[in-house]
Amino acid sequence: MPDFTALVWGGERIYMVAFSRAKNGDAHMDFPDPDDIGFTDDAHNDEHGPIVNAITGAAGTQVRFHRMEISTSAKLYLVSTNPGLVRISNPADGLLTNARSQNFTFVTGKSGGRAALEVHYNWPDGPVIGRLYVQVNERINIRLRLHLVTTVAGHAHGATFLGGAAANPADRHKAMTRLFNGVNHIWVPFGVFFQSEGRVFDTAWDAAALGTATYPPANNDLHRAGALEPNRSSTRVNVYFVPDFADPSTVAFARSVHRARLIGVAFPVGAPAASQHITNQVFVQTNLPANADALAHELGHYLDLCAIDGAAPWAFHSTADTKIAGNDQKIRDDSVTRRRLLYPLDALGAMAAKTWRNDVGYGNLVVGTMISARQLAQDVSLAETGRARTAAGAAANLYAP
Amino acid sequence: MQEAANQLKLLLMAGNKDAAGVLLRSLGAQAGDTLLEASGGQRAPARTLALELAAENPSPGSCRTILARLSDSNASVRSLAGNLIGQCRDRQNAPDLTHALEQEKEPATRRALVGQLGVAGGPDQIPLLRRLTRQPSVAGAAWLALAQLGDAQARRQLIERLQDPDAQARTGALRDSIAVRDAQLAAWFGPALADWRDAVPITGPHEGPTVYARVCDFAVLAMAQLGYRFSFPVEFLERLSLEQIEEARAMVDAMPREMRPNA
Repeated sequence: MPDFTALVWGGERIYMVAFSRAKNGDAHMDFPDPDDIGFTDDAHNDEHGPIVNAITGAAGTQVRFHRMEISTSAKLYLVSTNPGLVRISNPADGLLTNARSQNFTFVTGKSGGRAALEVHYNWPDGPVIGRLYVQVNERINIRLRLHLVTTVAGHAHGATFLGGAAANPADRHKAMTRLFNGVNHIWVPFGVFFQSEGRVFDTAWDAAALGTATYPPANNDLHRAGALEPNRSSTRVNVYFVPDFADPSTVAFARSVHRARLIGVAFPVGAPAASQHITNQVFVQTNLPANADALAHELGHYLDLCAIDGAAPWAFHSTADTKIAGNDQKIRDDSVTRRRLLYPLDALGAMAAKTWRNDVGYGNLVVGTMISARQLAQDVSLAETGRARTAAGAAANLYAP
Repeated sequence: MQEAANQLKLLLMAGNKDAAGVLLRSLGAQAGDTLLEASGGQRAPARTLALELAAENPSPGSCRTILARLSDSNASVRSLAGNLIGQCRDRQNAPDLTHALEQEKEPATRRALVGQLGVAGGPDQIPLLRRLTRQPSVAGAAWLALAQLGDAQARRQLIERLQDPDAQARTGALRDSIAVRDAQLAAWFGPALADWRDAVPITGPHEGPTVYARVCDFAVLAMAQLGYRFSFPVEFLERLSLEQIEEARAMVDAMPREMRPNA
């Protein structure tokens, strides 16, 4: 029996092998979600295939391999084009089993860079029938300062804090710090590590700090208090935990340095530049359950992922589709879009007719955490990995007074 | 100084920020140079701590500590240093910023360095900044820095941009006017205050249907940031009423004629 039996009528693109995430359910830094959105890349014209991200020094990153149009009896070898950068550790000799789908593991070196894991047919140096590109990212720590706003206009946190029992400040501090464990499972493969400092800063905001006695205060009023907070750090991303938002269903919201500068808001208004603070900051509502995915999504906004500065519904999110004429039609909601971290909803809308879209590998009606790597001119929302790393590494772009 | 630098280096290596801060502040005028001397340790956390101390204790030496770490081997340290360029506000550091610019290749860092010359620079930096206006990747930052330093040509160019027919160019000029911090620039805000075109989305992600601020709304915010006060509060970028815009226009119209172009 031949190893390849697909009938090809005319021009057809055949994928003999494919790659996907090696687990279902919650995100984990050892199980990144490969970007298989496009098989071309405007930034890398000679690359055709999916790409996965991993951090330098990763000890065991797993990806799932699938035989799509090649028989299970075909001998297939996985070979790294740069073993110093990416070394396949399981199977150590690169020979894949005959299973239709199987996980494999690789380790990354100390330097960043890009390699390809090539699938060779029949021999380790046989014809290449597929490739998975691996982008190895040098680690960039994004420094966080966590603030517990103990009272906002006289309103304290409830007994249930981020979805758990935390009646005293110490327990609340732990819950705040713990939330970033889940966030880092999503972001670490992209070389971005959110690093809390050793302590949490407690503060209280009264009506004078907020500029209003209205409760819950509007987002702008929280931004005002955050900008003027005495413990605000100019060398860290300030994250404020408050009991309630004006929108009770919002888990968190964030404003990047870029966007804070764009809108020209700085406090105190009219003060000399050296004593002003802009409104780049992150807010988390503690009367809702802890949701690391949602916070990771908001930190994606802090890092200016997806198309920015545009109008709804395509601004800021993976649902952007600028190729469709009518504004109210500029929304994509396919299964790839739903796999992306910057999908705009905390929970997917159930689809009765297209039920396969309800579970994109992270659980029923749960948004995925993929961050796109490929760049295509026709989709302004892609190339998020590059944008995030630029935002994290570029000067005057991450922290601000 | 060498002894203090060694002691500081040990404290940085040990991660003892409080004690390092106390020692640094006790050194008075020598503090910055000592920090620079101590900041080149082997371990990235120690170099990070040196940058934190530089940010908290601004001085010419602290600025040099920051600039020295722009080429650090560790991406996190480089990132932090790049975000601290704004701490270099002392005129003494203008040559350091120029030197760092000569060494630097990364466009965003170059833009930040050029921009900071508008704060820490002086007449000596104007020829360099004029040359940099011919480099597309830093031209915008160079023009803004020149305007901040009071260069007449850059100021004229900024005023022309305030009257640019393109709404985004006009809004960008308003943004630059805030950075220049010259309240007299408001005398040329008339066209912007008469411009009702949508310019900047006010609403962020998840904040409902997009609401835009118009050019005129941004002009009022820019006036507030330049120190003008109105009968209504201006703290945020928001859509204002006709009456509020008219109040701002009346203020601009009442500004002395000699402040106007071609007057």
